[in-house]
Amino acid sequence: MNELDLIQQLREGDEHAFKTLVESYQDLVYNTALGIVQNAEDAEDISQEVFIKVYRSVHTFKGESKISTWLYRITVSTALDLLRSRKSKKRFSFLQRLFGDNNEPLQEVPDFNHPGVALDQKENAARLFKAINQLPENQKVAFTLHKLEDLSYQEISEVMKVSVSAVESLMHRAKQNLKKILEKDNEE
Amino acid sequence: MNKKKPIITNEILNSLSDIRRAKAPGFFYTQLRARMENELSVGRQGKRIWKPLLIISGFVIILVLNGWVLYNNRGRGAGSDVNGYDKFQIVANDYRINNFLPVDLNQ
Repeated sequence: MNELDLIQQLREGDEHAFKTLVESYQDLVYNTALGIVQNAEDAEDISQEVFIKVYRSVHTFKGESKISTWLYRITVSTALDLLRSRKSKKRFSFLQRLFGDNNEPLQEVPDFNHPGVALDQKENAARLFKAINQLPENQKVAFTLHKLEDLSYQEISEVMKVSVSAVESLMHRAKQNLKKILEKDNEE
Repeated sequence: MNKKKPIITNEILNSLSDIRRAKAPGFFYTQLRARMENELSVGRQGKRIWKPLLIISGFVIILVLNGWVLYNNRGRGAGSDVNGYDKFQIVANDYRINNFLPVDLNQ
């Protein structure tokens, strides 16, 4: 079944087409979400949310881009939304602690271990993921899509709706920032 | 020591070069369908329950506000003070605007 047929059947509410879509793209969505939020439970939750959004908004998909590009976009925005809401909650709980409303200590985020990393690289990868977490949003997205999903700069530019040169610049800055963060970590 | 630092950093940066794609958890589709059905049924039930609830609570709020206004205005009468004077009359007397005619009609 080609993409246009699949989309057409999805628009008609075909249950089988939806199952085909989910089974074809669930790993793509899950892996992307996992790379951004760095938590398996959250990534699963986001993946489900992505497919629910797809189910509800398939009639708005014009078919100008590939399904995968569309899915990457929804996944990235859903994952970033979750991170933003977590950040604002964290800030709020910090303020609560500051004013003595909430005396619970802030939870330390545990090291993230991606299941696809080779055993001998686990420790280094955990350090890298920790550093990736400190990057600005768009650098994090570009770097994650390139490293975890093996997307080319051209594909990333389509997902992020920016030019290829903008992606090149994002990747360059991401690498520079990661180097700085890791070197600082090494010194400590 | 200084030479070692960039080597370690580069090693860390290259640690994702052979990464494999993480697989979605088992029974992903089944769990997704369950969540969708649950959300849809909750949505439907929610609409069924919330619509009349909203209407009823709207009426209750209006009644409570009415009651509150009436309670606060009890004993004041409809625009008259205790001596039976109309509020407007008092204001008019204060500012002498009830004698605005240049000619006294009684003369």
